Amino acid sequence: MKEVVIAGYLRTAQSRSRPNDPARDWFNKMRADELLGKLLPETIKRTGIDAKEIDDFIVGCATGVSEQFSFGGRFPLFLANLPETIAAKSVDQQCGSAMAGIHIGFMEIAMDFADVVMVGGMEHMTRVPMGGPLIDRGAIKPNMSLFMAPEYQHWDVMTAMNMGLTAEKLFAQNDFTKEDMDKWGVRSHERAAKAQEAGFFKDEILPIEAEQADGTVMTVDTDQAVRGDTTLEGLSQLRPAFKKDGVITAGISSPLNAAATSMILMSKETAKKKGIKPLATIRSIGFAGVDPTIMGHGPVPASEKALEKAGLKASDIDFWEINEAFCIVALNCIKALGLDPDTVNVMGGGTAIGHPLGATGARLTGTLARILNEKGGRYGCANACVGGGQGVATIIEREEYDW
Amino acid sequence: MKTDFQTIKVEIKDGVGVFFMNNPPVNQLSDHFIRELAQAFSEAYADETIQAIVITGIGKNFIAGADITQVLGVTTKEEILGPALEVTRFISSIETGTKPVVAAINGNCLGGGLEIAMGCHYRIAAKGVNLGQPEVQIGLIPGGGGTQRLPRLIGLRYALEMITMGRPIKAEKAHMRGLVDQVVEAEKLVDLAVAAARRFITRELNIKAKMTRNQHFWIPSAAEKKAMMDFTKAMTAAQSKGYIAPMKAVEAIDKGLSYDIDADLEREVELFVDCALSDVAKNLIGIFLNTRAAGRLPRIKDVKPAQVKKVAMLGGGVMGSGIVNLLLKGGYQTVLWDINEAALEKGVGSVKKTFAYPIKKKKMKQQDLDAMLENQFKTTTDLKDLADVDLVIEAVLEDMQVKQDIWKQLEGICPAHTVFATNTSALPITEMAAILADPGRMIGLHFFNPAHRMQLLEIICAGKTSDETLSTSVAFGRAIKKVPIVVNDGPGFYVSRQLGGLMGGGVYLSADGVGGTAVEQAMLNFGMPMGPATLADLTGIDINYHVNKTFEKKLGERYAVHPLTEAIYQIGDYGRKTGAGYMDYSGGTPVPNPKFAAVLKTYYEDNNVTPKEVPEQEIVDLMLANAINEAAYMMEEGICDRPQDMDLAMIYGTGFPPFRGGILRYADKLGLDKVYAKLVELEKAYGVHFKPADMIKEMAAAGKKFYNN
Repeated sequence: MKEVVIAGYLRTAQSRSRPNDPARDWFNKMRADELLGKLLPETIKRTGIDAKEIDDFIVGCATGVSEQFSFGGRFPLFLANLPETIAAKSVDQQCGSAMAGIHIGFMEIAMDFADVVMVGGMEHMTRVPMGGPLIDRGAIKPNMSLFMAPEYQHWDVMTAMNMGLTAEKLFAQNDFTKEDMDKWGVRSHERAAKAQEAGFFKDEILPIEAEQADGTVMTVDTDQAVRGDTTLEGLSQLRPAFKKDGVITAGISSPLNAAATSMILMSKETAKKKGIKPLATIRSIGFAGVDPTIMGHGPVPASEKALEKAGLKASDIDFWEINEAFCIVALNCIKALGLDPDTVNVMGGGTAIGHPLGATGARLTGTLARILNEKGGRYGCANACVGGGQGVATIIEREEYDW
Repeated sequence: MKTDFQTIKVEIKDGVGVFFMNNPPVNQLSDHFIRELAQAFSEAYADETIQAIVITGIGKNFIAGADITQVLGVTTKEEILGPALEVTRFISSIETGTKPVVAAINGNCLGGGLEIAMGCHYRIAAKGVNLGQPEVQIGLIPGGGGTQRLPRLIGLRYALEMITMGRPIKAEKAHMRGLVDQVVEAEKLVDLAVAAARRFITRELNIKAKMTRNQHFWIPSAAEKKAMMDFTKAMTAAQSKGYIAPMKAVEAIDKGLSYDIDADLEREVELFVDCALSDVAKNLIGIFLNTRAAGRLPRIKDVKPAQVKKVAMLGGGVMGSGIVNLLLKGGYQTVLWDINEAALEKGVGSVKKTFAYPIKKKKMKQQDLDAMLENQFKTTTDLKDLADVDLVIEAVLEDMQVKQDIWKQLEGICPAHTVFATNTSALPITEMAAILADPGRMIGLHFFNPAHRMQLLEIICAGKTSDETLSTSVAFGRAIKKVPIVVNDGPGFYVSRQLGGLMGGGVYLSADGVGGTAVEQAMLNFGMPMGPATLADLTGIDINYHVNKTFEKKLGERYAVHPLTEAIYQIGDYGRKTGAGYMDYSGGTPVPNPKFAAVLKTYYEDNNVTPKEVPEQEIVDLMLANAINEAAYMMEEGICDRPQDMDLAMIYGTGFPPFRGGILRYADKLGLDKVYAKLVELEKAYGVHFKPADMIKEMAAAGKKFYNN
């Protein structure tokens, strides 16, 4: 098996999506595939390879319908005017989509069927709003038997398809308090704001010139949803967002976002040959299924599997990126795996930075690799819960690449 | 609330106020009707017993558009901007109103009708009804939000198509595209609309989510919109020369579709007003209204047309088979007569061929044609079989003797009420009718090729044609969906002679050294489908020559055959049918015929002419002055006397550009004094052919126009 490295990582800023008030989304007049189309050539350039060397392109998207239909991954390539010789596929593992792209690319290179693989992620939650609106349009048509037929009632698909309710259920199974979650939410915003201030994200964000609702053009280069002034008091006053007597509020959930992410994987030997300094080496991957009504637990078994395959213990991991679809997901993972909270989401998490569903996996992994480099850690694990009851995880190692 | 308005009756069902709109003839949005609608809405909003509203129409129409006669009269922006803005704001007030409104689309939902429906929160349509924004066809654009709401419901691509082409779509397609929420049987429409309204009351449907302005699904990205609109602008500019409305509609969409819909709506109204004030809109609206009134002559106002159920067609050639197509589609019992079985067999084959296109396009089923032929169609070679027909249309050999023989025989066979109609395009009908004991029963029904496609039917009254015969013929023309234009007998009747007049200036220009291509291009740019040479190659240079000869003989020196025309005829290349005319068609693409160039060269040498270039407008001025002059001569001769009918005939029969309103509308716009001055100048330069008609001289002096308005 060949060793696979992350040779490049770049993303757009994550705008804040508002399907009912589109004008406030900084990317309201750009489609996700256009964001990706602008991003990919720059990623290739910055990585220092020739686009013709790319064997495969794998794009993750959680709602690949309507304008996010990617024609098997080819539309973003067309929009980027990249060589026709690059094969492509789109992959949907919901919130784990872009990470699934990394997994597939990793395996393709490891098994020597490809040498250079580009992974992308795209999601625009203003222009292609998840759930209800797409169902109303018939763009998504869940099988009605799952809701109606007695033999499927045990799945409780109504709850499984409402992420907020799965978070409520995960909360109910734990002994955390609402305040624990609020505190984690405040921490997420504080850390993200601090990282923004320190310019940490500057090197991973490609500024995009985006036309705004009023016709002016804005250079979008920061994540729109980060709010450094978030307070515990403020968060504690928010009302439950998903059920009347619930605890999960918008403040301790990831916002809706629009963004594109990208990553270039290659074999370590190719990187060496080309003199490319990788960000990190991929050591292990993991994926697991769980009860769809507590999908937030998914990262736990997925991470355990990845650790086992790598022959590592949770305590060997220096830094974690746990996708904060909800704060409770991170708290649950910390508790179940026995982690030191100070190693988790050190630059802030999805609550603040955002969670553009299918695009998130590449951001988690890429940001983690940059954290390892910034902080001097060795092992890192990125994981995410996945709607429908799954978890995905990727373990990377920062090495001294002496070439 | 008040339930008994003049144009609206309100019934309250299950907490839902149902507005039955009834503003004959087509529920058009007249001022009065809109005022009553607005009042009904405000009363329903105030009435606590009404929780939701359904609006529907009585009869065949939901709302078939605005009252366009109101547009005809406006001359200043101030007159129309206010009322137009009011309509737009009224529709927005329905959309953002406090109670859910369901449009129960029972029938034609066009123009302002569709705009109101799109302002509603739910659209439920009866099967098969038409929905569309046809405004561009009368020179306008949607002015009640159509350019902003339609793209939000069905996307830019389909909205652009519907708005710039003006063609309506059926309810089923509208449903597929998301324009209507539900399509149901007509009988159940109102009940199901009330049920839909109740879904809002029970909160199953959310009024805010169903406001069209809140539909963002189809809003394109900035880059997409730019790409789409750049393409559309270029295409529309190329296709709509002379027509301003499509470009204005495109502009409304291009500058609109933002998140500030109210600003976009007001911009749309401004653009609508630009169109409403344009001559193009006035011309097109005039044509629309005149078309509805075509054939309604004072002379036959009180003359009841006889019932026509069975029709005989004499001759199954190109014209005959096209006419049989019309008869079958019109539901008439049809008998095709021809000279022998072989001719009949060929005729039946031709008839079937006229249906090949609709069958191929799946607009018609083969079984339907078979059934039609089985139930409605008979053939015969025996004139005696025509003893029970109500109308005979003759399209046999263009030979007076042959035709008169047949009519004489039929006079002894058919009952007294049978109308005898000839489709001759050249023979004098008064003379043809003279063979009959009752010449009053004879009339000319001049169809244009292909008869089943061309909309014009030129009806020619012979000297003694009776009012009853005319009345029956006009009613028949309308029944087979033609635009019937009535003229009097004379060489070439109206259309052929007028077309000759419109194209006839070309030879004088050629003879003066102006290049043929320049003349062709000038006429194309003016808006005609083709120029004189292309037309002559299609119709036949020999035919035109003989018509010219006939005119010379019957109408005098103004129609003397031009020496250059004579020389061209003598080449012996008569057009496409002989493989060459002005152009040589023997290869893949037509190329100039060298023989024609040689003739021209000789003519130039003999007459000391040097080739020259003249501004395009000069060419158009000559061609149109000649056409206007010809029209005036025909009015003087009593061939025709109704400018609106004459203009319609040229538009429907020859493709004269509708946006120009017609030859006489064009003359009025130009001013008769200018026309007269031009003719005087042309007469000096080119001779008697351009001698102004007395009528033009008098009109110029008196400052008169052809049209009264």
